[in-house]
Amino acid sequence: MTVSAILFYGISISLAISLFYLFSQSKEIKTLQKKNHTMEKNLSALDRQAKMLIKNDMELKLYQNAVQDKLKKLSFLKNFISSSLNILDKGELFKQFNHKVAQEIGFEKLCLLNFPDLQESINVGITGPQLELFKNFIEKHHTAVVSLSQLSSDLDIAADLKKQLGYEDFLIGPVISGADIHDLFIIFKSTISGGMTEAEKELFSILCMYLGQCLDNITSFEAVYHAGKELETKVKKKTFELTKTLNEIEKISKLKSDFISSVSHELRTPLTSIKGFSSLLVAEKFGILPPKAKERLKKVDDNVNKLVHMVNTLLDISRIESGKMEVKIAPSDICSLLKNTADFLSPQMEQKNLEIKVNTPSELFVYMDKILIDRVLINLINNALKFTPDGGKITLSCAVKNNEATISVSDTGYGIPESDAQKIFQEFYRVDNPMNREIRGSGLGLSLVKRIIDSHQQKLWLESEVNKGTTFYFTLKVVEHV
Amino acid sequence: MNFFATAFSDRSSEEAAVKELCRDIKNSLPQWPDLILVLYSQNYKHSLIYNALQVSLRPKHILAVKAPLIIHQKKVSERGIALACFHSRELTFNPCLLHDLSSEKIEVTVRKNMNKLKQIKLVLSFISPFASSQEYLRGIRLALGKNISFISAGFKDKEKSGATHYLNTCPGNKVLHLECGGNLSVYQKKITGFIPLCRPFALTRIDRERNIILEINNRPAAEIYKKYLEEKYDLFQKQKMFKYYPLGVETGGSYHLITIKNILGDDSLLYEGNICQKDQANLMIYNKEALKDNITRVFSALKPALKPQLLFVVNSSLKQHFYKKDLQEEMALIKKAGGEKCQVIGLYSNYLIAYNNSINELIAEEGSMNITFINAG
Repeated sequence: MTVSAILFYGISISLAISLFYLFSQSKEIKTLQKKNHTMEKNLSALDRQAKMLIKNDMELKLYQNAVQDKLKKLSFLKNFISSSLNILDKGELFKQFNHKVAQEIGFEKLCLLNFPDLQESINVGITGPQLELFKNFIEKHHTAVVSLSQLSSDLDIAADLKKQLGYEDFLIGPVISGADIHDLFIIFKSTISGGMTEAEKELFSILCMYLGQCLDNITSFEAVYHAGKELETKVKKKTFELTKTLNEIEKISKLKSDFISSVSHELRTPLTSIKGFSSLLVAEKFGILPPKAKERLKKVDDNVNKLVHMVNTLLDISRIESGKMEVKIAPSDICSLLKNTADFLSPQMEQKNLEIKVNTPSELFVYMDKILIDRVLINLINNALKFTPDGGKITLSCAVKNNEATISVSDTGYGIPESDAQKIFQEFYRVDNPMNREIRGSGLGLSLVKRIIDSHQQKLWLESEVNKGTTFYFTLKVVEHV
Repeated sequence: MNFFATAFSDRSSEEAAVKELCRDIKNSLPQWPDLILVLYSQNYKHSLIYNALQVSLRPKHILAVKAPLIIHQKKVSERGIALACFHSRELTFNPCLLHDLSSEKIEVTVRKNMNKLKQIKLVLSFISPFASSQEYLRGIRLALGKNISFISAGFKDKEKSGATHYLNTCPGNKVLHLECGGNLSVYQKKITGFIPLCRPFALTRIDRERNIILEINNRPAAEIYKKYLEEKYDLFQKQKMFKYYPLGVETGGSYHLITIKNILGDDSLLYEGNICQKDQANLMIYNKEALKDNITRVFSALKPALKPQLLFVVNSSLKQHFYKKDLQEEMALIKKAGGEKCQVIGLYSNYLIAYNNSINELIAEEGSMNITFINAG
């Protein structure tokens, strides 16, 4: 074999070995490539799962965060409302919106601008230039500001303002009191803090509404307060006027009483003298009188008697009114007094053919001034006597109820119209009717009765029906243990 | 003899609560405590607690820490005071307030204390919202040896004004630092409920100085979120949901979490945590079942001899908002796993600093829980 042949065979064999090696290596590369592909596939699957996992985890965290944030804010809101609910002063209410409140609701600064003049009521941390920017914005976007429940810096129209403020997040909300916008509430914070959450926006809306509600309450309270004040002033004024009038009336009444008292006193002395002489003349102590003169003198004597009675009654009224008359209240039997008075007036009854009936228990002790109550009975029975036509009936009764005796004097007379029922106790008042004009009277008797019963701190009233009769009632306190 | 006792009260007034606490402590602890760790909720005043405790228990030191949630046994409370009172001749404590967090200062202070205590077994610290955790971490990394157990609870909420911790009557505006030495055996374990989601990706461009992840898989970093969240991405960004979906970097079979604090305008991610360029990372998602499994696994792996007497739990307040209902369940599981005799006390903080055994480094982490198992003797 030649060298060239050996070389040829050698090259051929090494070529074959190289080819075989290359073939075997390519197979391994393919296997590795396959493995690599599978691994890449697995890693991609892992990445896909990782994406899902991290996204879900983050969403869950954010959701949890939002829930916690809302709960925290709700808790703040509850505390804030409970601490400011009873504030009825605007200044005091506005003071509640401080730096701490701004922080609690997730913001840094806040202010309240009066609407529409945009004067600040509260300002927590907002600088003058920032406030000017807000005012300009509000003036420019007036319609949007008043129509939206809240204007957020996220909106397109607020983009410029947000930029001017140095990319700070803000919310503007109207505070509606009554039907009008009372204020504009502004809060804002740096965007570095992570933007505004839904919870913050909701809380802001609630705060705006709550603030409006508080202002409504304050307005209502102020209205009620002012009305109350006005009423109080009016009442004071009226009370003052009435007191003044009452004082004047009392003054006049005292003057009148004094006048009556002094006039009565002045009249009494000459009347006593006239009465003495007229009685002596009628009794013919100065000699026998011609019949006509005696008749005239008798009339004079009768009229002097009436005048004396009238003056005495006037004096009594005046004494009771001025407190000069001593009222001696002591236990005494009213039944015997009624019977005695009836007996005392029985001649006049018989003269007028009137029937008198006394319905009383055998005895009843009451607290009274016997002399004064006697005068009451005499006056009331005399009154009945005067205004009851012949053949009528007068009844005196006494009933006890709840430790109180009610004494009544009833007649079957002409009766008193309802319109005059209360006036008849006034001095000199007489019911104006033709029948009354025929019956003489001073109009002082019932007035005296009223004053005597008043001095006993008891009640006096009447029930009457025209043409059927009248009943006068008065009460006296019963003595429990005699 | 007990070297510690714990108690809890949720009485509304400080005086009434401390009275109840002291009664329970006196029943369990035979002698006056040397040190009291007070964990209390926002509604209490430190000065009132301090005064009442001084009168009743007369401790040498009172360390008070205000936290959003307090842990005691299987209970997690928004309102309450928990006490851990320590007494033992064999234990040494060195509490201090760190005001200067420069690494040199921390190194000097800690080394000085180490000499004083001879052997530090556990360092416990609480970082206020006004302190830089990064600064403190740098200092503590330099100062502490790697065989020292360390746990730090950090707070971020500056809005809730006032000091978050006190040493006796002094409020601390930076760090409350407690070194414990003596006859203690301490074991720590981090437990997380976050599990990886999707295929891993490479952190291709990072600015560690500014804590920014610029590119992931050679694309703008935020695209990783866009890819998985698709149409929900805008909402995700607007609602700042990043912290609930951190990145997880796997080391030695476990993940440590990288919290995304913000998405910047150029689609880069502002982060907090310990990462390196070209690290492989995953998007992480919280799974409460995974947390329960991890708790059970950690406790079942404990040797019977290591059964703890006291568990100090620093849990993540990240779970406070969305997983509030699960918190009691978690603690009940820990208490059950710890055993009847084991006392559990702890708090919830925004982040914690602890050793990551896989990378053998102290790291700050948000979202995980750390349990310190403590035994005396």
